[in-house]
Amino acid sequence: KVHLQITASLLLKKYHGGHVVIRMALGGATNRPFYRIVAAYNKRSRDGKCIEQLGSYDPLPNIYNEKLVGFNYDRIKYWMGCGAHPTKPVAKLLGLKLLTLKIQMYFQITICFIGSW
Amino acid sequence: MAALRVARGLFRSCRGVQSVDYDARALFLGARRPVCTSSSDDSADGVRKAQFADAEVQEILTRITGLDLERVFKPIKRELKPPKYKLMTDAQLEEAVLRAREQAGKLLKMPLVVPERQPIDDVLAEDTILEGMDTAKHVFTDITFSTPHRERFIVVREPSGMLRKATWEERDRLIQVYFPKEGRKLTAPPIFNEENLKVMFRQDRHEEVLNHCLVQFEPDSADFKKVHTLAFEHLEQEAKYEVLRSTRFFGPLVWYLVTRRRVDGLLTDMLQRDRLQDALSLVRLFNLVHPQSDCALQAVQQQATGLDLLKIFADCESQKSGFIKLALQTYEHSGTDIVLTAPQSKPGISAQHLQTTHGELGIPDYRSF
Repeated sequence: KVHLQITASLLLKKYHGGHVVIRMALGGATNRPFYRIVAAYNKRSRDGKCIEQLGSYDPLPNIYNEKLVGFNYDRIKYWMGCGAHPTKPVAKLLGLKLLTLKIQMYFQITICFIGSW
Repeated sequence: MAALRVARGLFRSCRGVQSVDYDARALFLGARRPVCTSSSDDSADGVRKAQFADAEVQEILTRITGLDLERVFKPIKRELKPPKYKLMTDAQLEEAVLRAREQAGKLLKMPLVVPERQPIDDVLAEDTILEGMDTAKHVFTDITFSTPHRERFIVVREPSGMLRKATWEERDRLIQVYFPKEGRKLTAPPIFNEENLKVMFRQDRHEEVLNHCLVQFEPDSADFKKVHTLAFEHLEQEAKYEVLRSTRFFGPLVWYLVTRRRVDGLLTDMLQRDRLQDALSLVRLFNLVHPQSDCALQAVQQQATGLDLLKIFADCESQKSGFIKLALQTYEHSGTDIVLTAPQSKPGISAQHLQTTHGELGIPDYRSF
């Protein structure tokens, strides 16, 4: 059953009407958030079992005034190709043009490295 | 479906973006460029100068370094365990010594000497629309496991909206964050400050410092070069070449001196310790690295070998020519049989030693100890 869950094509979905999303799962401690960028089923809990961890985001700046974001672009490309939807904050970080028209004039944080295909 | 439309949209929007391209193979491409900075008439004459990575140069350097087993396998501070004793026959002992030699050869592998890396200052995009969105920089790292660290994409989005490639220091720090290497710290430990380095050098602990430097810094970084330069300069001033003699840093030390044409101290030290072979190899290396110098041209003209090489070198290049000539004269007059092809006998266990202490039957003779 494990391998059926991993190949997340829309035909073999585990949840009825669910889909794969790329979103941030919150971790860390009190007054110290830390997000893991994660590919998970839509219906799963936010911090629960994910399909794969694709990166991390640290919202608090470090001593060099940097917010560290790590992306495994190879796997993100794969999941986007499988039809995963990124949520708004993840899309902001990835620099994707947002899907809904009213937010399309919103910001772009980084150029899309997926262009190196 | 919606997902496919999104994917197609992504394709279209991203095709216009230039792919981020680093000068990723600078490490080995850079090694092809000449290392020495003294003379500039290298490519103009068309004569190819010897580089650190050449097979011949490496062979000469390994020969000069020597293989002192006692020194290489010096006891390192480790967890205290009771020593192990093994009872061996002659043949087994010789085999063990051979294996130890091979292992020592591996441990004596020289660290790379490569030209210093050029600073990265490449701006990928200037999106002034994003100005003032945040007070902190965002640093994006590609954490794909299979890409080599030199080719990894690390970019920084400044609060002003500018998207630039990360500098070498930022790169090293972030690669250590996501792919930590054992023994390396995120910020350089205070031992690498100038004053602390001087303290270490005064205590003759150059090897420790250089080993730590090798772990902490990349071979082409400025800090690595600075620590090595300071160590080698100190050794050259104090003429304490024996400190690094049978270690992996002797090759880089010799290379440093040869490229700056300051070989005299080392040569006199070698002659004082009766290492004639090493002295000859050193002069040969000098001729390889500076093929346009007087010494090299004369040597080629006269097809000189052995002591003649040293004489030519003493005439042309050295400032301590008096001492070198005196040493050569003593060699000639004392009539020592110098075998110019075979390498000098290394200290340590040799077959002769075994034979004298172990008698004809191969059984150890305890009375002779």
